[in-house]
Amino acid sequence: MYEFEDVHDTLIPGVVTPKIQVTWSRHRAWHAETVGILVRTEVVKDGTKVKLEIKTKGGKLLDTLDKGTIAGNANDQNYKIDWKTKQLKPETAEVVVTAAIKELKLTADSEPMFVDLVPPMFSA
Amino acid sequence: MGKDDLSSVKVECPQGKGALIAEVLTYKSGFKRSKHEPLSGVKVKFYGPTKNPDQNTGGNGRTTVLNGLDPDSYTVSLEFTPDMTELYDVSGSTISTAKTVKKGKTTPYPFEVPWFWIEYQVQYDGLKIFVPGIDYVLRHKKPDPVDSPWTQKKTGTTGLSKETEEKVPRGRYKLDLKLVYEPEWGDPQVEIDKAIEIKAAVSGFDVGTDGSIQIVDAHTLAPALHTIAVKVAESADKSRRELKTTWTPTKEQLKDLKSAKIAFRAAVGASFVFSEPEPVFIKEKYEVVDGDGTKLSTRIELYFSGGYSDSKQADGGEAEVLTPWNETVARVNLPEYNGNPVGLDEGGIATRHFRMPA
Repeated sequence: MYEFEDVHDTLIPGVVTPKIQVTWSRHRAWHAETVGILVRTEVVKDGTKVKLEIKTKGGKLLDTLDKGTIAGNANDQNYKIDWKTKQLKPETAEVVVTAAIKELKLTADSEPMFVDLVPPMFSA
Repeated sequence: MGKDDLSSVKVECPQGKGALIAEVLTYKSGFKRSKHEPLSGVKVKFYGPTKNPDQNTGGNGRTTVLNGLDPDSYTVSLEFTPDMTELYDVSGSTISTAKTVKKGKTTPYPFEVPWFWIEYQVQYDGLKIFVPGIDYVLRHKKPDPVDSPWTQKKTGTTGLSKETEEKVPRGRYKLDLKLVYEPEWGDPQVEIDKAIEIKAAVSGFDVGTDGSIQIVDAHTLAPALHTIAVKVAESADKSRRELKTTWTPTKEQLKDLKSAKIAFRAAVGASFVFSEPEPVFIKEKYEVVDGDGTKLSTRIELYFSGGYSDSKQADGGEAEVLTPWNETVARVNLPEYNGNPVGLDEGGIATRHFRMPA
């Protein structure tokens, strides 16, 4: 409960706990597709910067997005999967996004998104 | 001593007589060295051989000078109105003093009565960072009687520094932040035509206050797919207030859902919170038959376009499978018939055929 009580002649220290969550818009995607990254927060003021780090499940950093700011407890960003220069193994990659608000020491990891790095081949 | 100190007050006394003057100052309780202010409107009573009528302190906190007093011991006592007793620490202060008034001198009777105050602030947990923009209610409860009700003293919005209320009534104070928080789905997934509980904690809003729960596409926060009016209520265990409802989603309500996930936005007043996204499923019935139309009892594995898969046992040729919203079957497999072809007739579109692994 965000209710704080004390007697006169004291300072009542109200404390709130900010929260953050992040999800991919897709559970699975192909390389070169554009997907959404959806950040939701609790008790975080508008204008607070949020940094997104896109990493393989093994921890290899693929991209950093640091221009986003929270507005109305949310920040949504589109992200184009373009890892041609990343020297990844040509197999399905599990990729997570970490959302961080440095000044509030908040971080959250998404569930992994499965990315097929090699375009599908269809039979004739 | 400054020129305005009480001890500097000089008046002409008739020969062989003395004089006195009383002054009441006030200051912030607990901060005796802070700036003192005159306290007007305090009744001052005088007791001694020379009688004088009661006086009220003026704008400078002082009585007029009483002169023509026979030298002797005089007691000066203060009397506060009930309202003042609430705002100033009368019981913890000296409000009656006896002194000897000497001839040819003006004897000062200084009194100091601190005022009550309350301060409050809102910071992030574990950080010395103020949180602006949260609406709040400051409530007060009198110390007597013990079961006095909470009354609203002030409303406002938090800023980037602590707030101070000076000269407030004694008693307890409660800072209620108007927040909606801790959104919670009752189940890990949403199923069409199956009731699900939705709730979020609420603080700072009275029971009965109108709120709403909007069901939104998790990927596009507006417009709402469906809105449920809910009032703030006490939780079953009375430990907190909450917005709570049970919702049975229908296909019609979610007809504009583009993604496969929904979230809810719980709001009261200007405060709101988004839930985590939840996947939406719709239960679909599959008929499982062989090439001759014989109903099979076998395990069926379904792989959907979004990456979700499910495995169900078909009994008597029927299986109910939870299908992710807006996803199609990418592949179907009957493990007990590996190596054989399988066809999927979805009705309305051409039957698709798959070769199951050997």
